[in-house]
Amino acid sequence: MSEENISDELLTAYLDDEVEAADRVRIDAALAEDEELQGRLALLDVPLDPIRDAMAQVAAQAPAPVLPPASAQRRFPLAVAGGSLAAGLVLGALLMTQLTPAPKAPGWIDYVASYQALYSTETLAGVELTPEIRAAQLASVSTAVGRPLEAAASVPGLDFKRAQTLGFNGKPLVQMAYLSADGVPLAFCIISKEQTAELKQLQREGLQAASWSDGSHAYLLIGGDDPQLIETTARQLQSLL
Amino acid sequence: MSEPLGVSEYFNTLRGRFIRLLGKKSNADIVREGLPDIAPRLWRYALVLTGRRDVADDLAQNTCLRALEKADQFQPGTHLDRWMFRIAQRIWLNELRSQTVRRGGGLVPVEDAGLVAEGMDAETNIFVSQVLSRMNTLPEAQRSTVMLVYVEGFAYREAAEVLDIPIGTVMSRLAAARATLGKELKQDQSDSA
Repeated sequence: MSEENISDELLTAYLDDEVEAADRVRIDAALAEDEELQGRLALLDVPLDPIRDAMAQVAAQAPAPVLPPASAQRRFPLAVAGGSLAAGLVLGALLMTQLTPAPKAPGWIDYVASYQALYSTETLAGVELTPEIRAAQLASVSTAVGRPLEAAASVPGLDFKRAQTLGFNGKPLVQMAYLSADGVPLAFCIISKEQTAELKQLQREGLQAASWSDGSHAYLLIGGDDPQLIETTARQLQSLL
Repeated sequence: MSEPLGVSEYFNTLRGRFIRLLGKKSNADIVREGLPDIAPRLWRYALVLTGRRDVADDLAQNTCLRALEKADQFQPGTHLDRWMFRIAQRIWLNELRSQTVRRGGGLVPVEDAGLVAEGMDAETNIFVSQVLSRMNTLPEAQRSTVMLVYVEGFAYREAAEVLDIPIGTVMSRLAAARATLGKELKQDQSDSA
């Protein structure tokens, strides 16, 4: 039996429960009498749970993907395919392939809104920075976007959670995350932009937001559904910066 | 990179448009809804594959965007996660890998990859770093296969489809990975004995 030459590959498949029943019987029989084979199996039988445990921790650190807003992928009204069903479908297919209107290219605010829409209270509830890490993060985002942002971490009534540098079209986009007293996740985002605009309120992805710019940078505060909270906080940020 | 559409992909695209036309849940909706659960798994796969946090961020992000762009080609009822891992694998091999190699650096030690995270206690950080360093001792082909089969729980056949390789190759990569990890473990045990 043992001279049948059971390869490491076959032993691996045996450990992974990926062998045919007949092979399993053959390997079991060989293992029963072949010490060398037992030794090889033991060497291959490395514990995999530590890898899985560590990888679960790693997944928890994954950054959320930044997706274009759902509205960029349009729906079409039912009425288009009227008349004879078959002809309508064929015609519809041709029209759709040829004439699908190009959706308006989403801007940075749309991307930030899609990203922020994935935030819940739990996303930020567990985040507690040490003073050193907090200072390092603030220094790093200030450098990234080319203006001091430390003051924005001390907004009355908001619990500052973390700051990170994302990217939009190759430009650094800073995101500062907060929880309001009621646990609403808010994001304050800064990108460099030569543009000047007064503070205005808007809605994106079902979230309240306010945006303004000062000639060198554009700012966006977004989160929750309370326009009052957004307005008050945006004014505070404006005066802090 | 956008390859020309094959005939079956073309019809899938048409079908996707009809489904949208009739007001059913579109492929894009399915992909978009499935993304939040799959994205962290893609990112950790990308991290182990590329060995660099910045490249992993790019790879995971590009994969999510590409999946949305190509949502019409996804076959509803099949596994979204496998489809997305396949996309990640292709983007890595066809687009990002050569750039990463050109940029230099290659695999960086875990500490330098910025993986030690503020959210974790010190002990967990050390444990995670050790496991990642150990994974880094394996060649890339083995790392990706170990991730798909042992971490993601894909069957050999499924991993073979994601990686576009024969099942026998999956088996030999896993055997080689187990042998390396087993030897290291044995070494550790005799060191600490």
